[in-house]
Amino acid sequence: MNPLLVLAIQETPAIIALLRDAFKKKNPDQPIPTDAEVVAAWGAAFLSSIAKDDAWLSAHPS
Amino acid sequence: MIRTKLLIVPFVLFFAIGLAGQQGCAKAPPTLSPVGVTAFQNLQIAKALDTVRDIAVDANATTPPVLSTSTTRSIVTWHKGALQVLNARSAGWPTTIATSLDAVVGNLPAKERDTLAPYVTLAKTILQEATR
Repeated sequence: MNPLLVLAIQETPAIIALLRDAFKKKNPDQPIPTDAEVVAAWGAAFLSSIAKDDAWLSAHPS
Repeated sequence: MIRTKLLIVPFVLFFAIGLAGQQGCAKAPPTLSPVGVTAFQNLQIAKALDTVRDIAVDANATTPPVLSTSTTRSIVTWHKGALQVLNARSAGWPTTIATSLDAVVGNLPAKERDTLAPYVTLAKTILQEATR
């Protein structure tokens, strides 16, 4: 199968999740996050994502 | 190959630009302080930047690779820097992220640039909407 098509199929759920998360309307039944929760979530996401970059770069040295 | 691209590119662009134009990004809850709003926006933007990085990494892992290791390294290196800019939030940070992405993608071979184009557009749209 065409690798570009494989990639598109593989990434479609991630793209849909990203769009859903980024553009979703507020649901009044959802709990409202506190400052501490949002700041902690960002801190964790930042470190995790940087670690993923570092891991890939280490595995593929130039 | 060409038919596949013709299908994928409009599909992603339609959702990215259409949804952004119609709804805009989810706004931070009004109960958050400025620090919380910043973290909320950072999370949204980082997810979009992560998507570009993840797609590049996955495209490099296909057989045969859709993106070269050199191109993927450029994207991953850019992503790491962009996250640090996002976290620091120094003056002009949205422009810095968008223009650095354009610069990286602009230096790629045309075929690989075309492959990444819809995802780059998506990330830039979310960046723009999250900071509006």
